[in-house]
Amino acid sequence: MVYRPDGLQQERTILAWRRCALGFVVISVLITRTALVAGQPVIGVAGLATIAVAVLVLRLTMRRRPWRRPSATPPHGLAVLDDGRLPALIAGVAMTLCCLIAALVWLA
Amino acid sequence: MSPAATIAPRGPAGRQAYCCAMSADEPVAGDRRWPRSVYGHGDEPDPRFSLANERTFLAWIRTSLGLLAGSLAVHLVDLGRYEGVARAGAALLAVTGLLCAAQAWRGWARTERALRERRPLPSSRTGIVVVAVVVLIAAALAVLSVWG
Repeated sequence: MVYRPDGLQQERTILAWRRCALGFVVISVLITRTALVAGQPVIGVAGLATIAVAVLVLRLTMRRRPWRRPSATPPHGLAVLDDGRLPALIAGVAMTLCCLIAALVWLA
Repeated sequence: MSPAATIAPRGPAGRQAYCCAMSADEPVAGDRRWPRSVYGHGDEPDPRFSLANERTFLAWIRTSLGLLAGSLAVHLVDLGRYEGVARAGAALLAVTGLLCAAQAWRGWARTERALRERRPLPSSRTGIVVVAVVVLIAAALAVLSVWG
């Protein structure tokens, strides 16, 4: 039996995760800088801490290789998402960032 | 052509033919994946549909992050005596970002469950709210920037 890659779905999904991680890095730096300028160091440090989530996501995607060539054996470790924990974490971090920015805007 | 190159058949046979090729280390029996409200129902969908659902989730998260960046940008706009409007607009964008992040998770879970149960995909009104908020704030900022 030959296992063939079915289009580029898996690669597109990995790239989407990487874009998301980069978005987290950018927004984290923006929050940190704005918070420090506004004199809210606690919010700034919390914003900086979200970079850890971006690094986690990037590490997960780096371990997944794009599947381009047919193989005789089932390829392992292609999916980024094992279950609902990672989406829950990402959504939770995004919601926390929203709360931080709302607080930052209101307190500044 | 191998089964992995075509649409996987439904049910356990499809899982054996295609899902195992995508994640061969995933157990079939004794499934402990979380949340059970999603994985405790139905059977495995075509992995391409799950991947598309995953990308939609990520698109909502990116929308949320974009709204957050917009919130910070609006916060930095100098509207003179209308500073309160800029502050309210920035806060509203942040709250809309919160809504988007919540929708990302809720939409992912609902869609995944619908895929597993072979039901029609759920709809959401969050997109309309996001468009309305963005248009409202953009219009307010444009008006105040020109005539304020």
